[in-house]
Amino acid sequence: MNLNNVPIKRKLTTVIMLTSSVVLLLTAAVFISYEVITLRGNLVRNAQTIAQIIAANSTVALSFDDEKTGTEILSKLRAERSIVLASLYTRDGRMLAHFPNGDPPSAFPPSPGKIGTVFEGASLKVFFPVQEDNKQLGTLFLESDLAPVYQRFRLYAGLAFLVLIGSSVVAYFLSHWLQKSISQPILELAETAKAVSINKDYLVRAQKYGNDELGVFTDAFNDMLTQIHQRDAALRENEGRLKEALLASKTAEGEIRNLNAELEARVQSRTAELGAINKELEAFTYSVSHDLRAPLRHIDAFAQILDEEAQTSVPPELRQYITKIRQGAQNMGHLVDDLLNLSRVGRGEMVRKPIKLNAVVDEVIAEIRMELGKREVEWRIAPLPTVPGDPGLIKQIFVNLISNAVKYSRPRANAVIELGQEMADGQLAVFVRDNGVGFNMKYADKLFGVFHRLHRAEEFEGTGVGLATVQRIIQLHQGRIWVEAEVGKGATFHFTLPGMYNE
Amino acid sequence: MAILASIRHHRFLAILLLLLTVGPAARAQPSPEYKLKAVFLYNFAQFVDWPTNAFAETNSPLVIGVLGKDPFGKILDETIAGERIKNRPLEIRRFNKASEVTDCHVLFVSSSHSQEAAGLKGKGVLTVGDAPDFIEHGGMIRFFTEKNKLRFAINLEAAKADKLAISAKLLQLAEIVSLGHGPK
Repeated sequence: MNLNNVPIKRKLTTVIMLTSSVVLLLTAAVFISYEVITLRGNLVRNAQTIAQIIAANSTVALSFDDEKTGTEILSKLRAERSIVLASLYTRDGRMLAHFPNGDPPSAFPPSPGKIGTVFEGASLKVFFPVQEDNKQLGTLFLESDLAPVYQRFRLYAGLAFLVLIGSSVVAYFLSHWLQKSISQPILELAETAKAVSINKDYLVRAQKYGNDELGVFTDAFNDMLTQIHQRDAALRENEGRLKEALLASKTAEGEIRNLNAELEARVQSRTAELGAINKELEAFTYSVSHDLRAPLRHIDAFAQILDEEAQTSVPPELRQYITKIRQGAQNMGHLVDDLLNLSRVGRGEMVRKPIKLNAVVDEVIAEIRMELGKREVEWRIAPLPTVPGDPGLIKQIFVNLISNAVKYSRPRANAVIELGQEMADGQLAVFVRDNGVGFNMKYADKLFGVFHRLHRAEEFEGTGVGLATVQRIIQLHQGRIWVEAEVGKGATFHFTLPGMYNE
Repeated sequence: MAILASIRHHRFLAILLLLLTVGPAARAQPSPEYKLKAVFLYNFAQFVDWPTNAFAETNSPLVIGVLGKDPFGKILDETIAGERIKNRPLEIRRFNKASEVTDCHVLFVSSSHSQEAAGLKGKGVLTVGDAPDFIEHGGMIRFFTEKNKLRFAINLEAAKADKLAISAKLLQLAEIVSLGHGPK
């Protein structure tokens, strides 16, 4: 039985009723069982006493095989109303006499049964030995009718049932009345708790009925309400404060946002200015470079004519000057070309299409070979990836890196230039390695700056613009370039370009 | 006719039975009647108490005697064989004269000697006989037949005179007589 969801009043009543009913039932059961056991014992004793008396008186009848006397003796049982049947058996098992005499002998056991007492249905059967001088002369049979006894048991059971009903009714009313002292304060508490939870009114108090556990509970509950009330007040106060703080912080946030916006606007305007200036600078560089080329060509061209004309008439020192003029003009022309290249990077539209790097490398090497003359260079070209990019710009990368490698490996009798691919930080990268003069890694960060040179022009010609251009191109493609080198052992340039893949 | 024949037939049977049951006592061959009487003699011993001086010792035998012509033959011996009464063994003795009777507790006096019953008084002997005048001659228990059934009469006074205590149970079965008043 699940009492969990039953109201406490009913729960208490049920508990009391159940307890009292069970106690009553047990009591009645014990009482009736005791009665039954006692009564059965009494019945057996009584029957045996009667049997003993009758048996003692039957000895002579059995000894002398005297039916008349036997019948007479048994007929005395008439006084004992509980005995309904009785019979006497001789030693050899023959029935000598029976009671009531009127009944047919077939109503009696045809022969004596085992000595003892047996309850059979609504009767008690006794077989008792008839002895004289310790000799068994025969057997006496008695049957006692238990119907009145059982009737008495039924009466007991009926009475017990009536008592049970009556006491249940009394217990019901008693429990109804008594449980109030327990349930009333609990119900009151429940009501108060409900009121508190619905109305959020922490000022109501539960009424206290006594100083028992429920009284203590009520006090504790009321104390709790007081505390909740105080905390609630404190909470409200804090809430107010918090709201104010929130408002203040919101205002501050707005200010910050305004400042940020302002800052951003400023950055944008500055960036725009910077871009404009940059463009102007580029345009300036371009126009300067472009405008410088024409006079340079003139200088070179006229110096050449002068050189050819002066071959015969001019003394050798003068011709040397002319040669120096031509060299200077040519150097300057290279410089201007390089600067023009650099300024061209990023100008105009960038094309993007897949470029097979091996093809580009082959083309570049073919061009450079013509300038090599008698120099022997060992080329080690591994299969290279394909990269999406601007074909002109990508070629520029290899032109610069390979010509650098060729240039700085010049002092080597057996120059080796190696191109390959590798994995760097999980990205596909391409490297160009030479076994040339190398450089001190201390200056690695200066390597990609314009006009920065690590070697003297007398040693290795150059403008100091090539690597700056390479870096620019790679940055335009969102790639990365880095270098490893050691003095006297050569240098390796690595670069990654996004979207590089192997076919 | 059938009824008459039936009655005649019954009378014939009755006579036959009478002859068989109450036949002359002096018969060499013991009859069923004497078988019953032998049992009765043994039973009498069970329901009678003798004074303590009637026995020499506590385990002395209880003696059943026959005075005169013995109608029992071996039956009496067979009846008591192996039996004990009040922890006493049983013994049979046969006497020819009343004067010979000593150390005897139950004595069957054959009808030929019934007149000698008076001479047995004071000997502490329970005298049993089947002569019609046995009580008159001073006997204590007399067998008689009633409705084809063996019964017995007791002269209580004679028994009391010899200090014999006859159990009330036995008296239940008996016809109690006083001297001078024979059985009906």
